Amino acid sequence: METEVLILGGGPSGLAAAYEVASRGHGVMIVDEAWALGGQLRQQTQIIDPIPAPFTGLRGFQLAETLVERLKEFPVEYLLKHEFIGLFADGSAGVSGGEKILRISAKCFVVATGAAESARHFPGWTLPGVMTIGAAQILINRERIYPGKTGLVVGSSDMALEITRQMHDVGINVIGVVEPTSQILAKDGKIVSSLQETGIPVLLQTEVVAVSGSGKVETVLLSSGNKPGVETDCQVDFVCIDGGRHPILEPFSIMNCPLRYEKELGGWLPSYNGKLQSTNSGIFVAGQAAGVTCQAGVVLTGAIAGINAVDYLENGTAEARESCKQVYWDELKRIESTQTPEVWQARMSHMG
Amino acid sequence: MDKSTIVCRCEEITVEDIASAVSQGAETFDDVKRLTRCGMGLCQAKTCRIVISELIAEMKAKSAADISVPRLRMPLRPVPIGVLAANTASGSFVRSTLAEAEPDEGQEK
Ligand SMILES: Cc1cc2nc3c(=O)[nH]c(=O)nc-3n(C[C@H](O)[C@H](O)[C@H](O)COP(=O)(O)OP(=O)(O)OC[C@H]3O[C@@H](n4cnc5c(N)ncnc54)[C@H](O)[C@@H]3O)c2cc1C
Repeated sequence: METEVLILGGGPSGLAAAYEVASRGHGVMIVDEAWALGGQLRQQTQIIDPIPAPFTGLRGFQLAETLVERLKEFPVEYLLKHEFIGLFADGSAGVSGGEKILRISAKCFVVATGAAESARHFPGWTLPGVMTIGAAQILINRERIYPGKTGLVVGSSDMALEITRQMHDVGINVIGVVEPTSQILAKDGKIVSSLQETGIPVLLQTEVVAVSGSGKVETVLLSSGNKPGVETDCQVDFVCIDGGRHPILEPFSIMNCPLRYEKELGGWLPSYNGKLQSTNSGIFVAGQAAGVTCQAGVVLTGAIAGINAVDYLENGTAEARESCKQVYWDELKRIESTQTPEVWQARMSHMG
Repeated sequence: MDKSTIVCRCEEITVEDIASAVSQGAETFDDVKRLTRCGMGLCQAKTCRIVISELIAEMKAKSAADISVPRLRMPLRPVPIGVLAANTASGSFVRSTLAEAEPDEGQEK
């Protein structure tokens, strides 16, 4: 198989990149191991804000649908339920559908494989019933399954508080959110006050000592910095861990893209320049793979990577494409530097 | 973190196992992996890479940026061996997988 731009990952960033390439008349193929496009947006039911026009006011899954819909007028090729597993010696991609390995050669790649959730560790974290906060969201919104009846959330990021609210809304009894540090980590005031309305307490300076139970979660033992030496038992049937997210690295490792550590972007990630181009020149990086950021950052880096891939195919840029990129960069700067200034700064320093 | 806490759940490796590897001289994730099998199970270090690197950094009084990322190898996902070995018109994947593995054997990344 052959294409001009091969996009690894059909989440919001991959879809945004595909649009920029396809709408300029170039061939594009999206490979995704999931059975549907949309990536991690498919289970997000909250309204995405901030997000640039024309996407304002949409809920996460609607944004995914809109990004997919927008591609329908172009001859984009899709290969769902196929995993990118490695590279052949000639640089073509090896993609497995479970029965055979397909070989896809492309002039360049956009790697948009996203981020994974990080764990938190305490005795008992491997018991059935302990899951990441994102996993709980997938169960509720995508699979329509309750993760449990009574739960506890460990960590207080925007994402954790948002999903805690969603659990409350579907009738799950969340007994509390525990946060080891002395302040709520969420930065979005609307999310914090929306959680407060539910009456679910946020316990600061509180840590999980252990989770126990016979074959599944039954009890959580908590200790509070305010009352040293006192440990409290809580009866729950599930625990959600919010340990933050980190860019998925395996594709970059296989593609020999050098990595660099940038704490505010989620730790290790591929090095890239101001074109979101990795040190391996035919490989562009987009979305959470290019650093953990908000949804606007995901869509905008996808779009910028897509236009840069077109420049790469055409051996140079054009005025119209330059001004389009400028608009996206301005938006990215405006949103990232106000929402998460540390992310914007880290991105600038990462690009060098 | 409690010493008995599991950090690599595929291979059931605990904080204590990591500490023991570090006390034997391990400095990188790959060193610890060779001594304990951490990161060698089904998930191929996708779940434990970060926590184990942080533990090594802490035990060695280094920063997280000083602990390099372990070499991640093809295939990126579990693939049936029959599929990997199948000699399709486009060539055998196994051969290129092995070719990829050889040159940097023993090298650090
Ligand atoms: C479980 C989970 C829940 C989340 N919930 C929220 C939330 O509530 N709020 C929020 O702000 N952010 C959330 N996020 C952050 C999320 O990463 C972004 O919202 C956004 O979806 C990132 O877009 P992306 O295009 O970079 O990556 P993704 O949306 O993750 O898309 C990447 C795609 O690449 C595919 N892929 C990866 N590796 C391979 C491979 N080797 N072969 C083939 N395909 C591959 C995946 O199947 C996926 O479809 C969540 C993340 C996770 C992991």
